[in-house]
Amino acid sequence: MKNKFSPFFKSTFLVLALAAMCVSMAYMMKEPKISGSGIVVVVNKENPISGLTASEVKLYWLRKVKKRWPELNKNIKPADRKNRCPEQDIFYDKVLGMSAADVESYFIQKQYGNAEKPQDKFSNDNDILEFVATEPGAIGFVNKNALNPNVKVVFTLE
Amino acid sequence: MKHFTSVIIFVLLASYYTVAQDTKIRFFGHPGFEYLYNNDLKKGSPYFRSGPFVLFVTSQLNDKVAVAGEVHAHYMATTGAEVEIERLYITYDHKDYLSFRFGKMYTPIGYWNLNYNFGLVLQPTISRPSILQPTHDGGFINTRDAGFQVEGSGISSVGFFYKAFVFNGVGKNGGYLGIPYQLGEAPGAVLQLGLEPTDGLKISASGMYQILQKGYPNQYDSVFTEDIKSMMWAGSVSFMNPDKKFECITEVFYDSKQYKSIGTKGLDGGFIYLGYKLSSKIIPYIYSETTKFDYTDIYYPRINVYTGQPYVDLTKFDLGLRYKYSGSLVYKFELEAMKQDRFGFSFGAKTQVAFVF
Repeated sequence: MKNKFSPFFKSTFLVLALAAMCVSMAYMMKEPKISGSGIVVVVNKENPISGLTASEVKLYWLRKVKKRWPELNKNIKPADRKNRCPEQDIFYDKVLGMSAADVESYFIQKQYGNAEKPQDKFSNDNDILEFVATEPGAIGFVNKNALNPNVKVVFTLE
Repeated sequence: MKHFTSVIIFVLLASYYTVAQDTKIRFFGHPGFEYLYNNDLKKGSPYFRSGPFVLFVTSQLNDKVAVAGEVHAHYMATTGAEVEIERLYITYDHKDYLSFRFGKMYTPIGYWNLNYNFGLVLQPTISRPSILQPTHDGGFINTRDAGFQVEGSGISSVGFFYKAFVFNGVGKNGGYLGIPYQLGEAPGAVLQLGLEPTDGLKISASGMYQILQKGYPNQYDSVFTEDIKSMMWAGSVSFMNPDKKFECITEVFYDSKQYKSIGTKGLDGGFIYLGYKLSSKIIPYIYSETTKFDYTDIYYPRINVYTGQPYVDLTKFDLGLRYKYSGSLVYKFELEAMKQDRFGFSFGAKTQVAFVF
């Protein structure tokens, strides 16, 4: 049976199909999804702070305006994820309102201008929880499902 | 060779302390290319720039104490290859409103001088304001020096901040390795006061005061023939907020020298940078600057010994585009038009790849 489609149409169709697949994959990657019911921002249990708004989390985590926790008088130590992950994408986008490149530049700028230590980076949520549980000035974000009782939740992003 | 051996030793020591302390090491670089055509001379040529190689190390020694060191290796047409300690200081953060800094650091004038310099991956433009060329490269203003600083920030709801810096001064720059009592008695001082009423908006004013004493050496290694009272004023407004689309830095400077013999001579200048983020990666911008130099000021030699060129008035306009591939890699392109006394009008294009690792 004679093929009714010419090689030109077949190759065009193939290219378009691949392009459509790439576009849909990019679209799916654009909206990060996390398992569980959201992310939480946690601090050390010694920290007397009880709850924070999203904008306060941003100010503290980026060490904007304040470099030390009021009352506790300890260095604010932000904890971040080492590699890109949905939790980080959501935290950067919804809480900080910044791109990953902007966050990176921001901490390089703080280090270059004022010798401020950049954020500590960890491979997974458990490492962040362990850091926050042991460092009085720490503040980090984790998946709500990973939460344990050794830290204090100060903000929840559903 | 001796300099490069020193750098290697420094890097090895720094690497050792990386293990021992909470230390972060960064290397900055910014190679570039430019083509400028001088319309008066009818002459132009392409030029590749390697830029300096910059090593920047910080370490948080404990909750309140941190140290920073910055070394750069570069090539000067007049003096050849040089390795220089740009900054080396220790800080003690008592509270947000009170901390101390001791060592060699950038003088607190405006926003640009405290935030960019050799970190070109952070600087929004390729061009650096000519008014901020450091005195040790034949520039006009003490952009960095060794001394002691008291500072504080985030005070009250208007975000008041201050920096008070007492430093060696122009007449004592050689004192870093020299004999202090041969370099004059009077230190210099700078006070910066400012507000950050909203996130990213900084408004500041700075004043610098130095007495340049008769009989002591100046930045050109010649001797002052009379006492000179040197004062500098700077005003700065900047809005650099990473989560906002609009960016702006504008600063003005006035530097005066009071002589008994010839009266007061002044130098003024300023610049403006305006950028707009089309996306988180693409930022078109404009930059313009001017520097008005007083040719009757006897402080400056006819030929700048650092550059081999005469000091001149300058007006410059740049139209640029910045592509931020990531926080550690930025590409910049600028179209430039510049008018300089004695050199005339020139125009061309510049490009730069700035990185940190």
